[in-house]
Amino acid sequence: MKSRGLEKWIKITGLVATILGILAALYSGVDKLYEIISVDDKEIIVSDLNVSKLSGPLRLIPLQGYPVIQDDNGRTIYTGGVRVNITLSHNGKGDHGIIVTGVQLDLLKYSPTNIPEYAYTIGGSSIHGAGSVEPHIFSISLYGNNPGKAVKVVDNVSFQSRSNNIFDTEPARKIALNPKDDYPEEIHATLSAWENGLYEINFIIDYHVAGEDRRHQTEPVLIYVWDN
Amino acid sequence: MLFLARIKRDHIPYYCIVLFLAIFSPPVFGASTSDSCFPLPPRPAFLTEYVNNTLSWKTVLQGKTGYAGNVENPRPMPDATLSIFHNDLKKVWNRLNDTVCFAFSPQNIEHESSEIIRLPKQDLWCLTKPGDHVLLSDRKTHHYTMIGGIDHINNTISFIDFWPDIFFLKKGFNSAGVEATFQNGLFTITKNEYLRLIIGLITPDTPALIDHYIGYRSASKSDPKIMFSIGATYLEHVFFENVYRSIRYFRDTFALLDDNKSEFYYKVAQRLIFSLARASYLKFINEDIKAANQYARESDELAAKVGLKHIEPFFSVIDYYKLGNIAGTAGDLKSSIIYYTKAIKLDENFSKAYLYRAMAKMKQKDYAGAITDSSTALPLFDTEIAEIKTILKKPEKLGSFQMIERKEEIESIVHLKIETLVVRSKSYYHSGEMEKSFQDSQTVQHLQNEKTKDKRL
Repeated sequence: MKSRGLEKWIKITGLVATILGILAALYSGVDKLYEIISVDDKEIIVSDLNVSKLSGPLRLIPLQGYPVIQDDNGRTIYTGGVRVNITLSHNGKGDHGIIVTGVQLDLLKYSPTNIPEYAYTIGGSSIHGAGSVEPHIFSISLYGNNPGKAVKVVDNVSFQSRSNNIFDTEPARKIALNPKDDYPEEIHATLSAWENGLYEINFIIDYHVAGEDRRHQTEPVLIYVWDN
Repeated sequence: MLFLARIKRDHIPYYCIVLFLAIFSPPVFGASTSDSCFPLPPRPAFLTEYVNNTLSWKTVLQGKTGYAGNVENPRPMPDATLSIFHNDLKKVWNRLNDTVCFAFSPQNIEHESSEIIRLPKQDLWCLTKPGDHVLLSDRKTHHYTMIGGIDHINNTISFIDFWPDIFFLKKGFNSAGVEATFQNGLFTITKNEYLRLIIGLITPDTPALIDHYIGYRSASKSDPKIMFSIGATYLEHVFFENVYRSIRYFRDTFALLDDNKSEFYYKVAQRLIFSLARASYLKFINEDIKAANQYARESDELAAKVGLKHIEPFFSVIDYYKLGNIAGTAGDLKSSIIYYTKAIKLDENFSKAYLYRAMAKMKQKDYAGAITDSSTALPLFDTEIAEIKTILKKPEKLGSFQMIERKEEIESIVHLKIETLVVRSKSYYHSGEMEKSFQDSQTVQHLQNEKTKDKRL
């Protein structure tokens, strides 16, 4: 009788403790609730990389003097090339840091066809010949099926990546993002296409979180160039 | 933080030497070519000297180009589009007679200035000469530099740049994949690379350059855009003969257009009307009145044909009045009436224009018109006399010489008034209004008596 009463007491105490735990977790944040739940003793990593959408404002900027056109499906096509601004940041969840190991341009499609409906003229009034500009920004050239290596000029020295990964320079570059770090990382690149045709590209971003390799792909970007 | 280094003065003599060597070392421009280029006349000696002159380099370039440097955000950049840069250079080259600062660009680039002549890229290659300024772009960096030499056999081109250490066509400094080689102070790239990068070419030369071009590329004669830009270039160069050249090109352009009254059609018509008006004025000040009349008439006829306003940008009231007098003296009454009417439009109180238009109308037997004009002129003369008399009432404000001048002025106005009354009297007579004619003749008699009395006094 006594032992049954004790068992009942223990059960009630356990239930109350669980409820209090859940309430405490809810109070401190939903993330904490997930963190304390485990499946087969394996932790779900909630820390992740936030990559700005290229469809957002000022993410894709036409080259000076080059017009933007629309195809029949309403897709935006950048003539000559495009300036790309990508913001990488920690999602602020969990305790794990993120290491971005690579950002590479991926050529999804290239068609060396002249499309008369996309014919364009360049606006000379936007081209100011005032010397070298934007030396700190990556340049990536597209030559048909062969995307060129990224190039960046810093303090009169040119850095060229060894592979399609624009971080693969000497020395190699990596970006570390911490959950408590308020500063996002900005990547600016100017893409310019030099072989006539229609290009469809995107960016692949590789990163590590708590020993796990992850990959993010941006939305595709269309570039058309036809220069006689 | 903005950093725009200007061209250092110390650099200039060095680059002049490099340019001199580049120009006079083979292969030079004008050598036989393997690239289907047309031969061009060499730049005249006086111009070549100027291009190589250190002072001219300073004048041309000082403060007009800059280097953005290695800063994160170099904006705002100097306002240096091809049109603006061309305009700046034009002011320098314009000082030399028979020198025209031509600006060329590929056909797929539009500019705010009509003077940029848009040509096929191959032709830009053919027109490039040492000493020219070029705007090159890899779509990220846009940079003015100078042509040091051009090799039409090996199809290479060399540049002289004021920032050789960081010249953007060096390997790794551009997004166009160009790797310029550096030797003897010159950066060299291939023709194909040059044509990939070129945004504009500015070349000071004589009209012979474009005459040669048109001669060899006859297809350009049927391209209204090319012909129009050449005309616009000439129109904006102050040397007188260029006005007549501009007319030639605008006429050719206009002849190429059908009457679809597009925006371009009106633009061409407007420039042609304008250049004809300017030519008329130039002929006028050179006292070639016959030619002045012809240009003015063509200008007016074209304006009437296309439904645009008359262009009268240079003619003052006095100019029209003088033209009217000259045409009237030559017996061209119709023209003289037109010119007096234009003078009156600009100054509706211009009494003498009414008087002489009345005279011309009377000679044309338009008596009603003559009566109207002379009736308008008479009170205007009276007002003028009254104004002068008011001034004469305050002799303390006038010197003795001015007093005499004013009195003579009154005398001459009275004389004009008498002439006006005579015209009106005659016109009334021919219209059958004898009484009014008689009244005017009596007034004439009275005024003449007054004049005689004044002289006796």
